[in-house]
Amino acid sequence: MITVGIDIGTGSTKGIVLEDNKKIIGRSLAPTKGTPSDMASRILKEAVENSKLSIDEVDYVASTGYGRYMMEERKIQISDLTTTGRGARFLYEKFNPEFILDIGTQSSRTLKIDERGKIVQFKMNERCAAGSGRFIERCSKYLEIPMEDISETALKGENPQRISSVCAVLSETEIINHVSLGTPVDDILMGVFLSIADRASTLLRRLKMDSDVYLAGGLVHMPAMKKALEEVLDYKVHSNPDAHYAAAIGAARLGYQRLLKQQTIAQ
Amino acid sequence: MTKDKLYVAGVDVGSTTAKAIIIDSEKNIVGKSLQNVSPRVAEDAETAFDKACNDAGIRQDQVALITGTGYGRLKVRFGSLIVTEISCHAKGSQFMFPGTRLTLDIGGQDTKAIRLGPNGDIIDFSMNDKCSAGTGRFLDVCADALGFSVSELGPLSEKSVRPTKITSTCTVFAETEVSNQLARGRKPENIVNGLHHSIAERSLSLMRRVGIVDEVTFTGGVSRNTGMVRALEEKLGTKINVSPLSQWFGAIGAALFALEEVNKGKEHMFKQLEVNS
Repeated sequence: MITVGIDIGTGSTKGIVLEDNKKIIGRSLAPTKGTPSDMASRILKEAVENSKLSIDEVDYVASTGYGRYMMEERKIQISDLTTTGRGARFLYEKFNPEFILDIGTQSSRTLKIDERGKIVQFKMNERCAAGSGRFIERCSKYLEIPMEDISETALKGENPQRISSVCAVLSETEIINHVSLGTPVDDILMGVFLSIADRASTLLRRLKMDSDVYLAGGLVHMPAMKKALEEVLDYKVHSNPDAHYAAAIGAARLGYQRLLKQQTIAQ
Repeated sequence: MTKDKLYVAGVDVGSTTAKAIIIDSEKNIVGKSLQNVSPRVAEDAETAFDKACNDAGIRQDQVALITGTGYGRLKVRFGSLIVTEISCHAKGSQFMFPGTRLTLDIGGQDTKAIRLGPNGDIIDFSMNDKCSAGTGRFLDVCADALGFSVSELGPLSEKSVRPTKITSTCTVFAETEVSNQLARGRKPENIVNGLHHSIAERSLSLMRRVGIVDEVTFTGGVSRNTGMVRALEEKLGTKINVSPLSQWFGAIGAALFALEEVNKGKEHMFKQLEVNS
């Protein structure tokens, strides 16, 4: 059976095509632009194309993320907290993950999950841009370093310049002052990653984290983010090339369960 | 022998602007200046002081004592007294509006609520300097997103009958929200009015922490925004004190502290003279 999960996030939209609940056979990812419904349709089409299947072969579509209600092709919509937990469990299955950190464009959240990927407890921040991907995006803009080079530049920083402001906007002034005082940009950027890591660690502490942390969400594919987290946290930080798709994977898997249930009832 | 008149100065170095005030021994304001702050804060502080002296038409050596205050007060290296901006804003408001019992200072990067006693003593204060929401910076960023300068916001919002509700607290998210509201066809004046209400709401929660009492005096750069004054008055249900000099109240307070210090020094000198004679 083929199930598709579409995660319409504030920064990017992700699509996953899953075969028989275990094999990822198609992916698609693009920055969210235009209406969430058009965006979802586009990613659905691209992910299915990527899997070399046709849309008729798709048995079930589940949507998640902030734009999930807007997707017309969906058969079910599921909260992104739920799908992230399930998806992360799938990605890190063999490690038996308990603590998940998901840093997205406009939010950061930490989840504590059980052996099925169900959420036991969670803490999140979606009211403040500090600690989210938006902070990095703004830095990229005013430091004039493209997003794709941000992580690499930061990794070159040898004396990370800690940012004392908590607020993403107030940090801007602080960063600009650093630039005009001649602090190397790579040191400043690493400092920015460290400050995001600090915020994440606060959330994790509130979950009473006592084992390794597993990453999900958009920002965590940046090596500089992982390095900063490793520096700040006392536990090991695990990443996965598909970490960005965690919520989409979770949606596809929950879609599969729902489909099975429907079929059993029908029989 | 002609005796030179006595002058003192207060230099308030904020996060966004540096303000300087010169007063004479009769507490008359004789000179003032306003200067944008760059990363070279110490130089900006000096420039602000120079400009204020020029404005007063006096030489710098005629100023007996200088007090530094504000976020960058330690950069006022030419000053001989340092006083926190909390004390200075309290002092300045009390001097300009003797009935002041609560001072709200909204600056470029922070907001403070200061509760005063009848003699101008500080009873309590509460401040937000961690988050740019509810500060001048919030207005700067959102005005930019709307394509206006901050000075246009007050007059613009006066045209508004119904504020657009701004749901984001965070400045960064509000910036996006504002652009979206504009794209959705909301009128700029209503959006701006909504922004003012959002700041007023944040200010009120800060003021509640110290206790809201009459009279309220509004100081700091944001007090120049008439729309902001209106939003605060609506929320408080009472008139608030504002003056064209509101932005200088911190500097005025600082100058008054300098004058007190000079007078104390004089008393000390007279006592010494008495002892000696």
